[in-house]
Amino acid sequence: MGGVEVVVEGIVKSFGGNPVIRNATMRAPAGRVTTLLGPSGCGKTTLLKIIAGLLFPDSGRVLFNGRDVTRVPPEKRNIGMVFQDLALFPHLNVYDNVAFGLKARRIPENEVRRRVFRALELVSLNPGTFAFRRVTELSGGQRQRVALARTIVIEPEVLLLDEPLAHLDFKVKQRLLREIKRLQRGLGITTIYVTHDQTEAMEVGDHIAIMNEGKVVQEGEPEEVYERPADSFVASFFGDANIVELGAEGLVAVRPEDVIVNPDNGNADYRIPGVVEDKVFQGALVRLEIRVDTGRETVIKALVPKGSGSYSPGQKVIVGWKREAMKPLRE
Amino acid sequence: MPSKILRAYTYALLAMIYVPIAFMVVMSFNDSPYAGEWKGFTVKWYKLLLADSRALEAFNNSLTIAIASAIVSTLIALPAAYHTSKTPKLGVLNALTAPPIVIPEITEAVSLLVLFLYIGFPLGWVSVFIAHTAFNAAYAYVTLTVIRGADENLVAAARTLGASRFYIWRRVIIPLSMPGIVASLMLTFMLSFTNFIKTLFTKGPGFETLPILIWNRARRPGLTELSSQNALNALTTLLVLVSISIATVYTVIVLRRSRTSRIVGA
Amino acid sequence: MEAGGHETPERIGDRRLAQAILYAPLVVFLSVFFYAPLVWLSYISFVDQDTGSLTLRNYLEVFTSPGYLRVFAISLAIAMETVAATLIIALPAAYYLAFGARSGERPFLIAGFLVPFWVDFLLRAIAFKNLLYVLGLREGYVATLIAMVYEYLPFMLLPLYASLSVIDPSVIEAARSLGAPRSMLLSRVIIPLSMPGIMVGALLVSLMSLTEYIVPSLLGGSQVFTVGMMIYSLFLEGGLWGLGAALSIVIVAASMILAFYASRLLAVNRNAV
Repeated sequence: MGGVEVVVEGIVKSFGGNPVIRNATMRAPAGRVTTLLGPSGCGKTTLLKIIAGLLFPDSGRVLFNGRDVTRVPPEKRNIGMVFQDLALFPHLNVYDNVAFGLKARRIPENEVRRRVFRALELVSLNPGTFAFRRVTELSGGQRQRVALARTIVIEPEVLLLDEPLAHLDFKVKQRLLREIKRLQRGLGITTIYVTHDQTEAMEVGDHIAIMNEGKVVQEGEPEEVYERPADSFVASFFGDANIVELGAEGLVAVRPEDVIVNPDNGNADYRIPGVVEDKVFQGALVRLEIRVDTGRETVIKALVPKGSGSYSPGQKVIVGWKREAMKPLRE
Repeated sequence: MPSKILRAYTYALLAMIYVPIAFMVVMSFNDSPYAGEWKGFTVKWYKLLLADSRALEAFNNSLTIAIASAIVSTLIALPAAYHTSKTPKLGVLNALTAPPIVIPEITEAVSLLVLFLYIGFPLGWVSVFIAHTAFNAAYAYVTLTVIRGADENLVAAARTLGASRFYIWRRVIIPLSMPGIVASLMLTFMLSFTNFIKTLFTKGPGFETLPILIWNRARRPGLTELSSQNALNALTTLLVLVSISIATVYTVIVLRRSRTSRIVGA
Repeated sequence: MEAGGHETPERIGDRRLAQAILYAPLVVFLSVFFYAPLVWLSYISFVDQDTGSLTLRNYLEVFTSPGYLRVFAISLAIAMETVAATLIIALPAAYYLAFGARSGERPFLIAGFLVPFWVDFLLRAIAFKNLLYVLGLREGYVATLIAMVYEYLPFMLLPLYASLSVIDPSVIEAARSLGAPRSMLLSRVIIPLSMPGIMVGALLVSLMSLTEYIVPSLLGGSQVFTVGMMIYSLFLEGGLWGLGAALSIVIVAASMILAFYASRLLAVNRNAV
């Protein structure tokens, strides 16, 4: 189990003449979690279905450990997928849902039983309590666990998760996110996790690929992507950013936490005068929105510790940042 | 709002709808031939029906037409409903199946009669079967599209779990489509079995189904014991019980499994 | 796009064919046994039965000759009275179903009102006839009217409920919090908001009761003659097909308009039940 590296090369897919994926190339390292992050409608679910084999691309290749599986149907790929709406079988109970893939493989009944019970335990559902419940009687979080158990029980080489936590409350989501990570570490399955939520992506992903308008625009370690966003889309979609056009430097991104308000001499390489427009209390930090004039009217967002001086709307300030805080962007 | 009064009113109204039916059922066990006067309990009207060759022949016609119409209309509608479930945006089929349900029965019946007479089609079992199946096909289609069957996502999930096409049909598509198919078969059977207007127009002379027999006897009440009020009540009770029991099961299936109540986390 | 595995026109054609095979049986069957007869009927309605030439005479005669007009008048009177009575009787119950009923009892009540909807009119008319004897009512206009109200009640109640159930209860609470008296709540809030349902229910009940054949034949004695009975007698007793066809086509056209209107209402309400 584990150890399968997934590579996607130059995928193009259109529906009825409508291009959905224009050119997607990415890599999911073996045994790690890769998050596929992008706004809704960017083609990430379509790309996931192509990796699953539920859709075949118009062109491009899907490789599992170098083996071309582009035209292999899903039932022969040894993958597991958790769908956005979970797609639990409503006519089967929890046990039969989880056993489905094993029975389809004609695995003997006693082994099916042993593996189903172990899978339920792995997702923290007590088999004694839950095995013979109807799936319609379960809570959202419990259904999520059943969907997960049903997928991991077949011991897939690649685990595909399509926004699996989209419909859950914040707290349930946090707990399940931690459990998915723990489970994935334990099993070491290569995992691709699709989401439109950047905090979820940062929390769960070892590796990250960002999609926009049918293309994978950047991939890498989350920190690397955060520190060196390729373009203004990545900069503002993955984390928050001020996108500023500076004469000599061209287009750059500056993270709000790197903005210094009223810097001391020598503390900032760039300085622009501005006026505080709004002030939003965010707990430990305060977000200031400062209107500056860089040729065009721009609003600069700055995060400052809550005790670091009092600012109020209308107040004149200087905003500045160091040279290394500026991240040059592709136009 | 005086919601207690409204509540009492609503339940009273519901009861009122069932009172005439309940009264008829009781009267079908009345020893007197007249509904008004109670002369003690009897099952003689039902016994009479069992010996009534005209009723048995009408029953035979009703039953065979209803079974054939239910099977044929469901078979015709099933692939179309499956097609709709995969392309929900296509409204043409929905638009095409609404008029057979909405236009007054009598106009539909008359138009078929005119066509049958024009092309010289013999009236009888087949013409009645066609008339019933024409509206049943529309009801079957609506039933099969309203009741949730197997979603495409469930099929996709089964494939990612390694199931073959055959296994998916056997374990997912057929079991999940079963409530819709059963509901469609039941409803179309019942609509045909108890239909009166379309049968009246397309049956031709001499051919009888049970509702036609009821009609013929109700129009000339009391000539013989068989057309006495409570004999008629017994025959009608049987048909009403078939209707109500099938309609109840059908309604429960629709309310439970209608496409609007999804089982996803949303 | 320089795609290699693009769908060729032939493959798209194949898929269209495969889909056509799915819906073709239903479309063909309905075309032959439902739509073709209607088209043929509308053709007949424009044919002069004596000369065989095209004419509007059938429509003119149906709508101008005093004999037919009298039938229309009686039919229309029964239909309007049925609509008014069912509306008044059904509205409080529809209101309770939409706003008063607990979520646990609502499906039970809806099922209770839905089930008789499926019982054929003939069977319910036979059942109802018993009560008339017991109550000592004679066959005639009043008996017909009561039986029609009994039969058509669910057809009014369900569209009313469908349109009321999409109204946000907070609208009514807001009106009450603003101090609206009960009469005003009814006339200014509830009735205007349930207008689509009232329209659909009224049209449905009036069209169905205009063409009603069973109840007046069984309970009307000699006093009641409806459009439905007229259609029957023009076709099966008088052999006056042209006139019968013209009459039927007018009813069909009115129903089609109703169907279109109702389907739009129901599309809005799809998620309400």
